[in-house]
Amino acid sequence: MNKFLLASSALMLTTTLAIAQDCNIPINHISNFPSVKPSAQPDSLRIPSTHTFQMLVQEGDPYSNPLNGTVKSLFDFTGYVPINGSSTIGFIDLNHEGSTTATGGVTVLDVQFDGTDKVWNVTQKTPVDFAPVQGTGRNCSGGITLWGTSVSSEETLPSGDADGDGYQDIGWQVEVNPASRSVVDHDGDGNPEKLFKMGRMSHENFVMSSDSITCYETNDENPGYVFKYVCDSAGDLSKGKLYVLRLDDAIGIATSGQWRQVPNGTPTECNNVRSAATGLGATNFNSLEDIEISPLDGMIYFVSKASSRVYRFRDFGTTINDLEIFAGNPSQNYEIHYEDDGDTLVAYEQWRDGNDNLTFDNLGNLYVIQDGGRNHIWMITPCHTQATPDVRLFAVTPAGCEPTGMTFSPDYKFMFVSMQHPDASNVTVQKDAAGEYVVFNRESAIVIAHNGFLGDTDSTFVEPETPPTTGIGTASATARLAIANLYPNPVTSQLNMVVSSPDDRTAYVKVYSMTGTVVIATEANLSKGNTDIKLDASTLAAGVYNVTVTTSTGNLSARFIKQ
Amino acid sequence: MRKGKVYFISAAVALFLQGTAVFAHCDKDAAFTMQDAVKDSLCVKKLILKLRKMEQLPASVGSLRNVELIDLQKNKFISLPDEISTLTKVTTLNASHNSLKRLPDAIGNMKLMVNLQLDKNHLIELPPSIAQLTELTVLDVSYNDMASLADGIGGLSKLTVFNVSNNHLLFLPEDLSGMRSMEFLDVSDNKLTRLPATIDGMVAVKEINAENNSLSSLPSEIGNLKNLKFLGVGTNSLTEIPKSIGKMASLEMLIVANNRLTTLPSSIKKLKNLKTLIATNNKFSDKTKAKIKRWLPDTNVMF
Repeated sequence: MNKFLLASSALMLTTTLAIAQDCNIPINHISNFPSVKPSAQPDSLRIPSTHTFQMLVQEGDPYSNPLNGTVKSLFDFTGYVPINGSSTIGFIDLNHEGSTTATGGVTVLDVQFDGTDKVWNVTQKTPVDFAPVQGTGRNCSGGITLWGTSVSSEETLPSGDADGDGYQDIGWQVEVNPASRSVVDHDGDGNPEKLFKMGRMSHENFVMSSDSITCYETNDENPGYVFKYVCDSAGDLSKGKLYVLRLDDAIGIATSGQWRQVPNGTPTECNNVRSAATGLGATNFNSLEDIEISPLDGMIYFVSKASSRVYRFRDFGTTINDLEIFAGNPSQNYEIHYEDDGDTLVAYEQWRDGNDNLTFDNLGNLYVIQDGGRNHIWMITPCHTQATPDVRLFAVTPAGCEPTGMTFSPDYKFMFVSMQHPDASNVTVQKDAAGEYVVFNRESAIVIAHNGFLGDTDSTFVEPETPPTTGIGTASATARLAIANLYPNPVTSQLNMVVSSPDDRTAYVKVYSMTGTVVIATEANLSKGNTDIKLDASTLAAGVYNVTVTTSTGNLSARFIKQ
Repeated sequence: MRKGKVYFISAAVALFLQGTAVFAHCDKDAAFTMQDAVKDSLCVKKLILKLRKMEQLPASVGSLRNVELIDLQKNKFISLPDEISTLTKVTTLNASHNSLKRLPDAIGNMKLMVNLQLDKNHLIELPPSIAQLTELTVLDVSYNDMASLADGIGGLSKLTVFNVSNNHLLFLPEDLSGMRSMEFLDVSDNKLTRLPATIDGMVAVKEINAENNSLSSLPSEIGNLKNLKFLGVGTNSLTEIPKSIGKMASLEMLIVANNRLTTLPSSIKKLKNLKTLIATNNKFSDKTKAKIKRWLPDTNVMF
């Protein structure tokens, strides 16, 4: 199961639901936390003291097969795809936004939770092969199906039809089978294809209701429309009918609307669903971001970045009703009760602009990820109304980054999320739940959980150099031993390693081949702060190597590829 | 292995491009920092500077004389140095999502340019030398501030994709007859009052999107576009559609919504491949609507 499995089917909403919300979140639930102190971005990750994180992968880490090079940048959707519903073994489909052309991609991480050490192991890192579908562009957010695949959303519209099949090459939803690291071949002809019937647009994400038939999607552009896609048969996204939402009145006045069918029979029709939607009088919400389904009452929630609002409505099949603003307006201030040295204090934090990704937990708590403003990760309980707000602050993210792509494990103990494009100048070293010292100075995908579920039982296991309650952009010099950077990777000649150290000390550096043979051994004098160490890799045979740094107080290691 | 000799690049480059992140790529996609690049500039084939929050690209970037791909997207560039025009081996330049107001006048010297992505900037014009980019196949200048286009652009004979949507164009160059490879033309969301008759030079065009302009008519020559499958002219001020539309034998989808049409030419019934006609929000009488539906029994007609 995943977050979408618990989502109620919109088609079940034949009666108006009025569920009394219980916002007492169980003590060990992932959404039970004291808010962090609102602030601008420090150069480290600040999450609640009740939680800890583990780094899973960073940009530039080598793929398992050296021939695949290194993990691309611009991490976005971070979708946990369980194997047989497991919360301890599965895949993470990690989108790479790439650029406006076919330079996106998806990395599949094979992940397994070690119940003894309580850490996640990444056992394989593999790029998905999109060559059979002319590549992908700007793999933005996405979604998880109920049958062990993910959908990656192309958020760009470069024109072109290189394979001459009538469908333009980029601007589609793409179903990915993480087990085979390939695009799903729906018609079984040996040639995988993108999900053309869902329409070509600047796709933001995808969400499927529990009937395995009804899906929702949006386009992140102006005009920005809300679409519904109804599969012809459960479990097959390749064929279905497409609808677009037309409100009965202007935004701000209308509370109801209708779904109007958008032609999607021919390649030309599929290429031009946006124009058709405009012609059909669809309502323009301007730059739509995520759309999700509440597991509590099946209401559909979606985000307009231009207005920085979260809307919601009920879907009654051919019509919708109860449309309202659930949260937001950039000027809105929310009362945040945050923890500070054991005390609970209150601050008023402005919603600001840029609300973007949405994710529900199983209790109906809605996480709102921000691309703009202060790039927070907010959480809104189901008890929230605009008149009686209940908004909490889950994370203040590292400088320069946009948090992206949140999903949960089926048991809702683990949250998977990425930090996209953090500043390369971030230097604060944090110790993660696996005991590794990490720096958010490049793209990073992480897992977050309550302290008791991940890593050491010490609830203060995450140790940002900048204290959680005071760190407002105060990048401290490193006080922890860490490999802050290793580049270029892959390397052809000189390998550069930046080691952070709390003081002057001697380090012994060794490079091991995959058979354990020491191929380079040298000594380095570390200075307090960052020390650059240069290693001559020019004579090494092509392959994967481990580099270790041993000091009197600890060992470090990292992998690189020699080409 | 890297090739080439040490090439001097001024300290300004190093200053702007320093750091440990990967910026430059030589053969085999092996990547290294800009510090390395400045020592070995002739080996650099790709220059990746996207998302660096950069405001200025140093003139001495012109020293990377073998660079073939430059990715500058999502920075804060207001202009590009003239010296970039000397990089004559560049085939792809992506400067999307910046604040560019102008391009180097001599950009036409980049003769091998195939793909030029300049969308989401503040360009007010394209330099005339753009007409010299004869290898260009993709030109995306959407979401800029251009009111007109250089005349010579109509002679780009290899251009297959031209996206100039979301600008302020009042008119297109009169002579588009040279654009014989054009397949996808997007001029939507401008202020066009007419399309030139020479549009029929786009003999290969498959899709034209001219929605959300101020078109009051379409040239009759548009009917000569035998390969056109999609024509979007919704949200304009059209009062009639030319009879020649009946000659567009490949047309599969026609959108004329949000205009001032009272009827459609009877020649439309010749469009045997027309699958969808969206004609909402016009001035058709019920009688006319019924007539059009009779003309197009196999077409999904939406009024």
